[in-house]
Order: sequence, then structure tokens, then C-alpha cells
Amino acid sequence: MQNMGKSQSGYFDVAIIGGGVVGSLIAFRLSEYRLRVCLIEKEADLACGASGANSSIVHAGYDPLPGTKKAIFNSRGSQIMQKWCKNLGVPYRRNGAILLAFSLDEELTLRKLLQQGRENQVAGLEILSKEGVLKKEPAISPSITAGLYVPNSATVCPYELTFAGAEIAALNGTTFYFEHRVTAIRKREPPDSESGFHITCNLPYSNDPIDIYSRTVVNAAGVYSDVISAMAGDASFTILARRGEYVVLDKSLKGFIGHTIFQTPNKKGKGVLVTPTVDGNILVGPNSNIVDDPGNTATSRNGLDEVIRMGLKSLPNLDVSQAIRNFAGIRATPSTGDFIVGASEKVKGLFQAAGIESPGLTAAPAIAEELERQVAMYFTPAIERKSDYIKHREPPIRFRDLSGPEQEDLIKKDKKYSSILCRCENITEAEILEAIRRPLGASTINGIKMRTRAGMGRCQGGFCMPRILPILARERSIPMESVTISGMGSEMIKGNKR
Amino acid sequence: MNIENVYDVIVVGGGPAGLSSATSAKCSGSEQVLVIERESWLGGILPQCIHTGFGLMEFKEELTGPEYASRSIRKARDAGVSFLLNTAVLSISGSIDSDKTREVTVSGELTGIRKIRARAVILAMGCREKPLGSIGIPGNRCAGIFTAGSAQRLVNIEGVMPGTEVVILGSGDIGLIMARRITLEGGKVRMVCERMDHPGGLERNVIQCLEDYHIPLLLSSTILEIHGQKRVEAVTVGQFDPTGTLLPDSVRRIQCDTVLLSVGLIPENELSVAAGVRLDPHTRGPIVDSYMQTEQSGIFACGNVLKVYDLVDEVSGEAILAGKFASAYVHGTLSAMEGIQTDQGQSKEKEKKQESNSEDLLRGNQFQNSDQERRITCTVCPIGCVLTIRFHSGTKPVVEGYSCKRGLKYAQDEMISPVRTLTTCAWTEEIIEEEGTKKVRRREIAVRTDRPIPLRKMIQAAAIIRKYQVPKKVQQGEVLKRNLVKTQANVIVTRE
Repeated sequence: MQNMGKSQSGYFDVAIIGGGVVGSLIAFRLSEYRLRVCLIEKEADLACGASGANSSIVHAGYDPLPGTKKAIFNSRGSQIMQKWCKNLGVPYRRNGAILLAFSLDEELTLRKLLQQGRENQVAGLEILSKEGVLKKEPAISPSITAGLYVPNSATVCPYELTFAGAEIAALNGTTFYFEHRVTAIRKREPPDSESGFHITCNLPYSNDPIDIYSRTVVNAAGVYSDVISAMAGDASFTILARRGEYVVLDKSLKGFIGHTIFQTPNKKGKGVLVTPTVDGNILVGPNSNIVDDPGNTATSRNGLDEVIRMGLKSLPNLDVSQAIRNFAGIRATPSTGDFIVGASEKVKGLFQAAGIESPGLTAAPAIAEELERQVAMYFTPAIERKSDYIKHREPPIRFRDLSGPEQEDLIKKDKKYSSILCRCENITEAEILEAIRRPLGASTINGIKMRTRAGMGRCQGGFCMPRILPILARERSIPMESVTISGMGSEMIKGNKR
Repeated sequence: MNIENVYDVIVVGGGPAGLSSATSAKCSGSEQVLVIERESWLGGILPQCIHTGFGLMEFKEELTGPEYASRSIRKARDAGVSFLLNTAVLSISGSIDSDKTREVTVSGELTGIRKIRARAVILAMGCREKPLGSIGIPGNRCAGIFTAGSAQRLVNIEGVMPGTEVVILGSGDIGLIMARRITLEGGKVRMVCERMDHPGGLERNVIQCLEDYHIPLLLSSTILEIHGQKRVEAVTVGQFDPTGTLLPDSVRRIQCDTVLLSVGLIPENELSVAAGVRLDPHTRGPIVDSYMQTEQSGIFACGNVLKVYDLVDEVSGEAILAGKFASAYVHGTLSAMEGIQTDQGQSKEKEKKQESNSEDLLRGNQFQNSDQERRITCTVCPIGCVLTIRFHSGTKPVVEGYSCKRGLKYAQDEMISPVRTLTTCAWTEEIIEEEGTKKVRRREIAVRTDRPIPLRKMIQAAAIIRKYQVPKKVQQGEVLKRNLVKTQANVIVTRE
């Protein structure tokens, strides 16, 4: 998502820092108001951090301690997610979950979770006998002793949710800065200037910093939210980076399980889950390891082995030879033990959406609602909604999901729908072009992949990548050598034959 | 083009297997034979395989991939086969209707979504490369990781280099070919790692692609981790002992900006499975009878979709049989035909392993002179005869073990000055009008020398050819340049 032309300084009412699912949905909510809003992202695209690499689960809400922000936003998020997804044209599937107990101790934990879930207003929870579990999911290990059935658990595509929110925000006038790394935030006070913040950003392709001025700052910077908060003058918390590794299995295993299969949670977190994704793959993970570098998303041999071992504990016949990819996501674990959401107690005009670890994806819409309320109230006189704004997103065409006659109609309108570029996922050239041309369209190979699924199938881009590369170069009017996987420094090809 | 409602034989895929089976079906008496190809060209992967080594069995001549493709296409056209390009087969019906035909649903520019009927179907979809995720190498998923085949497309069709300092994982043939290709284009191949204790590809490729250019091949080794945030910066490699235990002292970091994967091919059978065809868990290709017919009556399979072959000539040979059988099926005479022995289920690994014992012994002797004798593997054709050159004082050296005259010539050349056929790419420049403005359109063409040139001149010659700008359209077979680097070899076009 290259910035068009030269980046310029700007003046805003709200500057959201971080283009993950939380930042994007806040931008979406605030874009309905008569506010000048910008979103600043250090990467070349949205959803490059934890939002692009997580379990994709909409948790029902039995897990967080009652009364915590995690519990409140989880419950609310779980309730409104389906509606939001419908509105934003994002795939959502309520597939239900089962937590497995392998011992009497774990059964006791499940009973506590059942109680806790009821306190958190989670509907439909039920303890199942071993037979009850195996009836629902025959592939589950016969060594289990019992299970907790969670009918309201769902799966969603986390990056599509991020793209969707940002797309509406952009259509409603929000300014997006990509590849802008915030390096300093200075509080400005009257009488020198209007009260607000002076944000300095560095660009990878220029030595001149960019200045952005904003009356308020919303900190949605994920694993870097402690750094951003401290820059703005609030050092009241720190963030620990926890890496979770995942293995993705091929769609050929579709139907092996229907529910999301958890193990009984322990001190380290929710443990390794096995879940079908909205796109029909099976996802196994995550483990949990604290890492020094929040930017380090490398997977490790031991980590992947651990994930597979734990996945096989739940489902002994899971065909792990069908692995097509592994990845790691970094979760932002806050030192406070709870989400940090709302106005900073230290700095006026700074709003936090920090430390959003699991169940952060689920909570994101609820957090966005809360910040919408708080930020809109902050300004005097109170800010009104615009008279006209876009509320609903027309989802991109997914050719593969259409009926025969619908496909035929599309091909009649645009021949490019008949050209299938990604063979594994059946993605047409027209869909690739749409992903590039939509508002906040893809400018990187990963951007196309996450928007269309081209390259996410079993060949992992072997066929389509060399074909997408020239298309992206042509569409963006850049030489092929400048096309990147994920922003400057990740150029796809290196060295020119000519 | 007029598309019929019913065909005798529909062939899915216009690569070498599809072309040969269609030609054969047509020549065996099937009236209407249609090849459906999703790309805009015929020949499958061959146009990007610009190296030689094709056609010795099928055309009795050593050809490059594009030349082999042209000949196969010409044969099919001459036979009267119909083609439908830019068209994907969406599904093949799992049942036969009362009129003994099966429904094939296609989607294409010309057809839109359309159902066509076939009395017999030949599956010829080929195979695809195994990606990084399937072999579970940990580390970053940064830029600079390619399968060997996609790198080959970038270098030979798109005209760009994937990177400059390369480590290749897997010594499959495509990986070996790409090691040479990158070297000829000015890149540096640091190493080829192979997990097995013997090379994965053909011996002639090990010699012509690695040993010729002094590229190290590390057997019983793998990439343990890929390093780099945005772009590959290095890999950690390690070697294993015969029990499969990692040797700690062997672990080292190698700087590179690119990793190429040549770790195996998998038959592409999504369509087959959806049509109710059962696969052999070992080959991952359809289970077929002695008529190459799958468990679905009237659906045949040939080429790499059935099992992965080393040589395209073998693919074509098998496809010819599949075409005959499919045609006989259409005419109801299949049971009267003599079937073939399929070696399905037999482990390819095992075959290779047996060969490799003798190769291991040889490996150390390659290019090492002893006073009395020297043993080399002939690389003229894929048979790979082991030649022994005996030296006797005062007389001419004696060459033994060759099975054709070219083998003798090869041994003699190797003793004095080794020679190789150079295959590489050049450019054409065409001036085109686009939206009122004149633009230069550059296209990459493939070329070869018409005779072998000295090995020591290969890199120099490739660098000269790389700078060729041909200001016009060229045709296959056209001479681009005479007497390349004073070798008397001419540079001829192999792909327009």
C-alpha cells in the first residue's frame, strides 16, 4: 500500500497508531464523525502483526476472569461480531468449540470454566461426557475423560476484518499513512499552540521525517503499544512479546473436524487448539514463548514440533503430513494482566487500546465501540456524525463461491474472470486486479495473498507468484524489481538480468 | 473455433502428456479429440525448460524444452487434434450417462462456463512442486524463498533474477538445472543441500550443472533454519550421519539472499479426486489398470499426473499408450487390446538407491586422474554410460563402456577440452504503439548453440548473449549470431 506521491505532513483531530484489527475498527467507527482522522502504520499494509497471525477464533468468553476488561470486551465482542462481519462483508462461521479434559484435574478446571462462563453471560455451555464429545467429533483422542461444549465459539478471517474496517474508513475520508514508523510524540500545550500532539515519523525510503499533528492519539500499536504510550508520556505499563507458532494444513482435510478443539487452559494460556478456518484449512497452534524481539516472527524447530505434538494429543489421527505452511504471531501481553482500554490517566488526549492479547480479535469490535464513545465525547462541543457516510462494505467477489450461472454472468461482463491465476484456491485474474484497485488496495505480494488467498493454497504461490509479480508491477507502474512481499527491503526479486 | 457438444476424447492439460495422448488417440481412430489447456500456450512447463536433454528417445535428437514442445504441438495439429486454450476444467462428472458420455465442465474466455461431453477422458494435468511449508523448515518466511520451478519461470520467461547468492535445497533435476542457469546469468550458487545420501536428479545433471561449475553438493544435509527479517540473509545447514543424527560439528551458517527449493513434485490430482478417481497413496497418482484406466471407467491418466517421471520422453511414450487405450475404449475394443505392465507402487526411491551404490563409488573418481585409468559418466544422453579411459604408456588412451559413437567422442573431448551445448536467453526489442505513444516492448527469447562449445567459455558466452538486443521478431531455428566467441558455434533461437 504505497503512499501515493510524496508523503506530506498533516493536521488531524485523531491519529490512530497501529493498523491491526483494533486500529482499523476504531478508524471505521470514528470515520462516521465530523473528525479529521488518520491511521499511522509502520508496515506497508494493514494486519501485518498479530492481526495477520493468530488463531482466528471468536471466543465465547468463558475464559477471562469476571469483571476484567478482558471479560467485558470479550462478551460484548462475541455478541456483536456476527453482525459486524455481515455489515463488513467478512466471512464468519459459528462452528462451536469443545474443550478437552485428559484427567480429573482438568475436568475440575472445566467445571470452574463453566461457572466462570455463566458469570460472563456465555450461553449454552455444557459439560459433555467422553461419549458425548466423541459423538460430536469422532476423531478426538479416546484418552479424554470429558469435555466442555461451547456452542457460541466461532471463527472469522482476522485480516479480512482488518481490511474491511479500514476500507470503509478510507471511503469515509480517513487518511492512511503506510511505512510510517512513529519515532517521537511530543505533547503540545497552549498558549504555544492548540493542545495536541506532534508525531514524528520515519520513512524507509527517505531521510526526511514526516510531521503529523493531531489533537488526540489513539494507541493501537500492539506489541509496541508500551513504547508508543511512553513516547506520549504515559509509561504506566509494559508489554511482553509472546510468540505463538502455528502449522496450517491443506484443505484436503476439510471435514476432518467441525468444531474448534481446545485443550484445558493452563497458566500459560489457552494451549494448542486445532480448528477449521473459515476458508476450509485446518490450523494447529499456538504454543507460547516469550521473545526479546517483538518483530521476530520466525518459527523454530522445537516450537513446530511442540505444536504438532500437542495437536496430535487432541486428534491422534490428524494428518500432519498435509502441512502447507507454518507461521508465528507475536501477542502483546500487558504487565497489568488486563487489556488497557480508554483515556490515559496520565496524558490528556491519549487513548489506549493497548495490551490486546487473546481474546483480542473477539474483543476488537467492542473495544472500537468503547473508543468511539470516549473519543467523540472528548471534544467540545460534542462531535456529530456526518450527514452522509458509508456504513456497509460490498465484499470483494469470491468467484469460487458463486453458482454456475453467477460465474457465467461475471465472465460475460469481464473476461478476466475466466483466467484462473491461483490454481490451488481458484482465484481469477479479475479478483487479483480488484484486490489491487479497491480502496486501500494491495501493493505487495502478501497484500494480494491476504486479500484474495492467491498463494495460500497447497502450492504456496509456486504457480501464481511469478504471474502475479508482473501484474502488480504493471498495475502500480513500478518495475518488477520494486515489487515487494511486505514492504521496502522485501523485494521479491534481486538482481536484474537486463 | 467451433466447440462440439460431444467429443470422443477430451484431454485435460496441454503439456507433453496431453499433446502426445491426444495425437495418439486421434491417430488411433477417435474422430473428435479436444485438448483443454488453462494457460494461453501449449507445451506445459516445456517453454521455460530452455536446457537440452529432451527428445533423445521420442525424436532421436537432443532438443531443448521449447523445441520439444513445438514438435509435439506440430504433431498434434497435423493429426487434427482440436485445442481449447485459456480454459480451465472445473469438474469431470463422476458418472456416465445413458449415452455413454461423461460431462466435463469448463470455464474459459471463449466458452464462458460450459458443459462438454466426452466418451473418454484422459487426465494429463501434470504435477506441482512441493512448497517450503510442506517440509516444515522453521525460520522466517521472508522474501527470497522460491521453488526451483518458479525461479525458472522468472529467469527464463519474465527475464528477472530471483537473487544473486543462492543456496539450493534438494538436488532434484530442476534444482540442478537452476544451479547452472543462475551461474550462467552471473549469480553465485553457494551450495546444493540434499537430505538423501545420493543426488535426487540425474547423474548427467549433477555433472553438467554442478561439477562443471564447481558448485558444492552437500549430501545427507538440509537447511535447518532460514534467517532474515525482510529478505533472506543466511541459512543454517547441517549434515546427518547414516542413522539420521545431526552432526553438531557440521552445523554452519551460509550467507545468501535466496533459497531455491527442489524437494520433490506431487501429481496434481484435485480434479481426479473430485471425479471419484481413487489415488495410490504411494505415487499420489490415480490407481490405474493395465490399460492406464482409472477406477472410473473411461477416465485414463498419463504423464506426471500418474507418477512423477524423470524424462519428458518417458511421459510422451506413456501418453501415446494412454491415447491408444482411450481410443479403443471409445470403440469398445479395449478388452481386445494387450495391456501394459504398470510399475505402480514400486518405490522410485528404491530404484534410485540401488543405482546410487555404484555412483557413490564413482563420485570420488570424477575428474580425478590416476596413472592407469579414469572413469567418467557420459552426459550426452540420459542413459549415463560409465566410460573407462585406460592409459597405457606410449599408446593412445583406450575408451571402454560407451554404447554409441557419441560416447567415444565425449570421452575424447573430456580428456582434452570438455565441451557443452550452451542454452540461455537473449532479448528482442519491438516498437509497439500503445495509447498513441510508441513503446519498446522487450521479450525474452531462448537460444542455444548449434554445437557444443568449450566448457571454459560458457560463462563468458552467456554474458555476451545476455546483452543481445534483437530489434525484430525472430523465429525458432533462426540463426542469431555466427561464430560465437570464436568457437564456430552459431547461436540459434529455440523459443520465439
